Amino acid sequence: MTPRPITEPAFLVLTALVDEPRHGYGIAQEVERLSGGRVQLKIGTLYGVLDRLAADALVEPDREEVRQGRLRRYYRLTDEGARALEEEAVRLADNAHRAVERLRLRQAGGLA
Amino acid sequence: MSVLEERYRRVLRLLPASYRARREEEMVSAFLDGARRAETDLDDQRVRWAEIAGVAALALRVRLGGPGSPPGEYATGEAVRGAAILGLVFWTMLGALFAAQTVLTYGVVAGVLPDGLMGIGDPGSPERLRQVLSGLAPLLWAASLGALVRGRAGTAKASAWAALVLPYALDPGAAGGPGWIAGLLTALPALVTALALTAGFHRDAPPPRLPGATAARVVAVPVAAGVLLALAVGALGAAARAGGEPGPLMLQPWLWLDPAGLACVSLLAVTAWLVLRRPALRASATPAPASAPPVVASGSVAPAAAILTVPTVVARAATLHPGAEGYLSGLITLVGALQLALLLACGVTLVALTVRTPGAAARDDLTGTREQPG
Repeated sequence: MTPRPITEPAFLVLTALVDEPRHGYGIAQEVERLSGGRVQLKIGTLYGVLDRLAADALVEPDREEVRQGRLRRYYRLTDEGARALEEEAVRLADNAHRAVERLRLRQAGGLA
Repeated sequence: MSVLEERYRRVLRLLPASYRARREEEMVSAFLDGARRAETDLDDQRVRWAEIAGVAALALRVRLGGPGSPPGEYATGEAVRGAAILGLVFWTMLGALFAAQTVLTYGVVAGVLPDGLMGIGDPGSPERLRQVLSGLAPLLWAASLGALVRGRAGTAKASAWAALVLPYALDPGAAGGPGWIAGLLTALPALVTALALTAGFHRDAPPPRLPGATAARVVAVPVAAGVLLALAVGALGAAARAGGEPGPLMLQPWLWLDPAGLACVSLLAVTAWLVLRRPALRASATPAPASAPPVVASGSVAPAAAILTVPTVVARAATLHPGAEGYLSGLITLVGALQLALLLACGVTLVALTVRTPGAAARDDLTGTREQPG
């Protein structure tokens, strides 16, 4: 099957899992922090993203904990997930670099 | 359990039981962690609409599963996606019919009909322009079908909704019937098609991307059928004008050529095709495949057509007026009732075929281009 494109929420969820495994709400909090408050994942949206990432083997369950009688399932980034995130990050950085370059040229009067 | 938790668990019931069994506890936990951060009494809080919308969207995606989903959810998703495609094929045919009628009526092809015979508004007037655009707008169904089979779900959805709404926006009289309820019921089959398209093709279930020539054929066949129907309707109209008062024999064909009548004929044809092909279907029934089929898997045609039968029955019933007096009114009601009975028979047959053909995704598809699962 053709790999699905990585959407912004999926990109941020993968990024949130780079340093350590996190549970659902922990991921939502980290995504909000990473995006400067711009992306606030609803729980339904978060689990839709996690389902897709798990189906593509980019994340996997790490462990389960029970806190105050509530189940917390932690997720971790897989090696494949790290590779996919890196490829996407390089692609985005490349695009951003080209955009900045062109804008500089424009400001310098090099482009109409 | 707090009131908020109870409310959230009620919202989660939108999700299938199998999904809840896997996810409910951790979703509740994540949700309540977020609610606690708000630092108000959990019994005073309500589940916000955005959270409910998030769960509803997830429920829709899960229930109408794509490739890789559990077999039951995949079969439901395929049935809804099949209904969208079959509906689009039908409305593409009708779009071509309406557009060709508009072209004939308003003399875009000069001299086909006597000028001004049926046209509304003076030539060149804004009203005439509105009528012509309203008549041509249903061609957007063809654009929707074309975009879908080329893998562009977003364009297909936008075109379908535009095809549905624009004729009414341009010409409010297009709704027909006395009052908006009758108009809504008449538009129900097209509305169900647009809804099936919108809900069925989501991020986890992208549409097939057919090669250009195959996609063109999928669109061209219903367009050609629509144009032929328009010519037949034109010929009938000419015969009616020549013969004066329409008799029962002249009226009969008209009663099968309105949208609900044509939907009845189309569903009869699909049902007959399925019944005749049943032995072949049974022989090729397989479990859900790992990859997405290009168009409608033939095993999904029966449930897809069954879905479309429901709004067609409602639309046909909405146009019946059993109390109307007069011979011709009686004939119209009689033919309408016959169509209703045929539609109900189709519905029962299609449901029976769906139940008796397990493993909904069979091997071949309507365009004959689907890959054979290994």
